[in-house]
Amino acid sequence: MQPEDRLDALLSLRVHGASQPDEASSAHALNGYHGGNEDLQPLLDANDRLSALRIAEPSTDFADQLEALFLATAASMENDDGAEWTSQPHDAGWLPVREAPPLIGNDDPTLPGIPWRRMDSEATETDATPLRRLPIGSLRQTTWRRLLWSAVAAALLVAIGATTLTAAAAAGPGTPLYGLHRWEQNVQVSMASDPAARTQLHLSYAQDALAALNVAITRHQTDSTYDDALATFRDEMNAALSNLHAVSTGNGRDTLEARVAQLRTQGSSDLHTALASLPWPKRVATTIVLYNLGNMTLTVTHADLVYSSGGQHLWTITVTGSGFQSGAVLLINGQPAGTVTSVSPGALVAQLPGDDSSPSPGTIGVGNPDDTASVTSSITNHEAGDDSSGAQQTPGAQTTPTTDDHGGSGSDNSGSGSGSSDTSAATPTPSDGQP
Amino acid sequence: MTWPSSLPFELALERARVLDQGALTMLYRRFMPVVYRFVLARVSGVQVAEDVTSETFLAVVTGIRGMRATDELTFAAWVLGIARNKVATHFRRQSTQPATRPWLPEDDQPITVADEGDPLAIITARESWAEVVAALNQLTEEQRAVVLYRCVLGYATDDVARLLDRQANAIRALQFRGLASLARHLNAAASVTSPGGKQHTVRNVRKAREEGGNGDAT
Repeated sequence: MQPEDRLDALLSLRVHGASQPDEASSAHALNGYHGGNEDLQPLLDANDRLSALRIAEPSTDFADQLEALFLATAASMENDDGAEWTSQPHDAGWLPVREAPPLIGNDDPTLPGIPWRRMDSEATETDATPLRRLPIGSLRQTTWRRLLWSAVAAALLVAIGATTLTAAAAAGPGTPLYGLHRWEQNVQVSMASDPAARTQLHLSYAQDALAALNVAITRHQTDSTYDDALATFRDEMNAALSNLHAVSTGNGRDTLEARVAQLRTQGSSDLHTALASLPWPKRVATTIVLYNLGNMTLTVTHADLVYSSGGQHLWTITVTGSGFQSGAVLLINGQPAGTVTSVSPGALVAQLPGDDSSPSPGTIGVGNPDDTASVTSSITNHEAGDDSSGAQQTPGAQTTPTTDDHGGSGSDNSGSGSGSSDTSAATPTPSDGQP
Repeated sequence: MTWPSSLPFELALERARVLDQGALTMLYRRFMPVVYRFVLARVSGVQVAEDVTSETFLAVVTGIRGMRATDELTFAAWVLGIARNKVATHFRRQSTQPATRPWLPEDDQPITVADEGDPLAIITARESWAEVVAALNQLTEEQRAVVLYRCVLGYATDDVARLLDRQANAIRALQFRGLASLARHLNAAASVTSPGGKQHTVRNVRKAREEGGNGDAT
């Protein structure tokens, strides 16, 4: 038998009195060794020295106080959770009934230096448990626990942030996270090393936006999805062109120029195709992008309104610009209105019934049969018989398609200073674009 | 406290998980002395032992709803694991390893059954306790755990193996080496004489008795 096994058997005899059968048999097997275990005697003596610890008992006072605190903490947890009292009836008789802690307000003196857990009026009898130094130390928030919670909170924030960014990376136009997606793209562009790389990224993003735009048209998502995709395509193409100018010759510039030209052609084609599926206001915005891509589109520079009050209550509207096609329609506030009486490449004349109580139109424009459209907010009002000196023109009017929307600010043309006989408030205007 | 034979321990655990006061009381009374002795064997005084024991049981009640023990032994492993962590936290608070204190203040001695005996037995027990604590702290973590579980808390070898998730043979080997190391440290401590001061020794007490004194040797 190995010394470790002999020692174990002897310890079983000393510690347990060989209470377990296998250990008892081992101890009996040691009978022959009892005279020859001198080598283990120092170890057995060391074990005997542990007797002081084996027989150590906590003081009754401490044990009782800790028990009361232990149970009070459990009760507090139960109350905090709003759980029902789950104590089982003691009908079985095997669960001891704990003596109740002292009630608040009893006359028993509190030991010096022993604070009471809670002294407010809402305290329960379990709260009357005195806390010696023991629970105070226990209830103290330890440093490691605070650090742990901080680490958990930080990890949670990182996880949420990473999840959000991951979701944003896949967000498409029209989704709530698309703004974050665009921000990520801008960050990636800003981290690009040179103009060529930035151009490459912009073209890539423009390509993606054009694809998303085509998908939106296919799915008839002509709302914010189309708007986001169109705006992204426009911005990325403009940024690509700006960065392309900074790319030095021979540094892959030819390739980039070819790709820009290819994307411009593809974009023009796709946008022309999309026009037929769009409402008139979005046709106006799309036409602007087509113009920026180098396409020949119509432009509206000015609109002149003449009101005939001689019993007809009729507005005669003359729109000037360029690129007007035969069959073009008049647009009032982005909607077709009136009856076109004549069209030439530079002017469109239409008549519109109306009275002098309607508000002034914000924009007046022209829609071509090829579904391109342009509007202007440069509008003058006349009454029949007035000369041009009495014209009323909207300030800050926009007359040429640019990167900005045609329907820009300054749409209200009912300002003062009218040369007509009517006051500005009474200036007759066509109805609100409705035929 | 002897666990009632009519009560399945598993049922007590089940009720304790839902904070049943009766079940909690039984578990407390069964394991509080165990935890107290375990802690007392590691720290340098009764006050500290009570502090750490208190912290341990507050952690027990806080975490008992998520406790996964299914029998007495696994519950003991859980509770003693908490106690071990609390002891480690205590030592970290001190920022140093536990210092050897061969002699302890009079009011910081553990209460033992020897306290009801004669002064010689009391002093012998106190001397032994202080030296043993110091010697135990010299052991490796594994040796100390085996010695405490086996020799102080009285668990059988197989139970210790389950408590520490080791093989029984490994426990016996650790036990052998741990007690050998403990014997060495205790012998080394015994060889250190205490020339003066208010230190009770068995020899001084015996000498005082032989001289007809009351055992209050200095």
